[in-house]
Amino acid sequence: MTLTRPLTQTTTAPPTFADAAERHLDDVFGYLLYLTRDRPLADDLAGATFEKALRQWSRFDPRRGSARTWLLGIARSTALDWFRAESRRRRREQAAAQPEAQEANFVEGLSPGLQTALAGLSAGEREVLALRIVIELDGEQTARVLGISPTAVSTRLSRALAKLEEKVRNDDLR
Amino acid sequence: MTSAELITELQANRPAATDTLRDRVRALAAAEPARRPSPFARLSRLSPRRFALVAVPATAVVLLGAAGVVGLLDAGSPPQVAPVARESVGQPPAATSTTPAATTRAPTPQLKAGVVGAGASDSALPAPTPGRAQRYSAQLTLSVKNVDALSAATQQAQQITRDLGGYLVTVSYATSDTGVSSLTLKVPTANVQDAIVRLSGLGKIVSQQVQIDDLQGQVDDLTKRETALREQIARLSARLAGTDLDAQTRATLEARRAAARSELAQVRVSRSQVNAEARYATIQLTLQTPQSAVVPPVPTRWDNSVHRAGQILAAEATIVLYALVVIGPFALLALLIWLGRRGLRRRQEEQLLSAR
Repeated sequence: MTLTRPLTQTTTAPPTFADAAERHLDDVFGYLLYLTRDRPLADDLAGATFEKALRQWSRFDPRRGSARTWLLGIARSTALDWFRAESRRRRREQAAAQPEAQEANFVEGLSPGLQTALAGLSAGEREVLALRIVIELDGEQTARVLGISPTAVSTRLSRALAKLEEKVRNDDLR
Repeated sequence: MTSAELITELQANRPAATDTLRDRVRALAAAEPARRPSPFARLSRLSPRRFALVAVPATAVVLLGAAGVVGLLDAGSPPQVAPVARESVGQPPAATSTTPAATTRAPTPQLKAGVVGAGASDSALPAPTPGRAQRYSAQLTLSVKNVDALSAATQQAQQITRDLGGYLVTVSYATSDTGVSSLTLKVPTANVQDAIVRLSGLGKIVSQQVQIDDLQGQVDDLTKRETALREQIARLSARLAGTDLDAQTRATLEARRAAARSELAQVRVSRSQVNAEARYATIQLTLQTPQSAVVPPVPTRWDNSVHRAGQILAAEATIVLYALVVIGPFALLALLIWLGRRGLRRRQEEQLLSAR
């Protein structure tokens, strides 16, 4: 007769901010990098994202979604705020404005053809690729981050992939 | 390159944060304040949908509870029932004051009057005094079971009146769901007690009033006056029979005799009227069916509670309805504005993202 240990009720404690930041920093940075195609800017926006997240951490409810989804949502809103501010600034300065310094090879390790093809996609197309393929969120989580329906996510992803494939193919033909 | 190969390459080269960024975020995390459980923290995390899921049933429970508690507390005081339904049957009307004798010439009219309620014995009826002229009037209200019984009782009342040597003066008969029959009967005064007793047997006595006005004083006065006038006429006739009267005196006496004869005729008429009035008693008979066949049951404490709670709920529903009517348009406007702003923001975001 063997004595088995009594089952202890495992309660998953809510993650601390430090845990969540450590675990999802690469995801947030990767998403922002794909969105902006600018490594220093992605770096800055990721820092701003975590600052904002720390301030709002008390409002995070693990029952309503994962910390990763929540952080990516903040990252997206931070990036959009920056895009808006940048857009306004550029409108004010108009002709004097310099074109944005976006890197051609913003993701290390990718083939030059894929880098070029990614650069040819819009930020909206790149973000859905980043979320669904690079960070590997599921359709539901991606929909929550983007504020659209899972069906719309699917459609966007298909179009983005098709466009990316076409651009890579065209690049190969050249 | 196929989509699968693209995906594989993208996933194989996931970007990693720089050490500088990692250090910066770690420094931020180190400054994280300890989370103090606040009683309001949970509330602030509630989404509007969750809040509504909790708030709406909670409000409904509070409103129902308030209605129940108030209903139970107020159950001691029963709701007011219209007294009309209860008073419609079986309650005698307030006693009416007796009217004075018809003529003021009667020096000391002997007056008898009485109101007899339901169930009074026949011996309680005041009887006319034999040998004296009296005006006897009675009001009798009887309740019969239904309209059929009303019709039969009306016919029997007429038959009783005829049997006792009386006659019918007026009759009024009206029926619908309920019915009322009013009869004015003239019955020889000598038989009036018998008449009332027999008429009372036609239904349940609701009220009964008898009034007797003594007319003997009037009759005595009129008799005395008649005697005096006869004597006067006789004296005048005797004087006029003489031959020693001049023409003027004769004319004066004849005029006085004519006036006395005229007054004598009036006195005789009056006396016969008073005697006729005394010979027949007037009976006002009212036969009626119950006006409210259904007596409302006495509400129990539980009925009162439910009734009061229902009233509170109705009041609460009215308040909620008013609030919805007042707040509804503003809420709808706010919703439309919110939806519009959200749509606009999404379109701007898409424009921003597609432009980069």
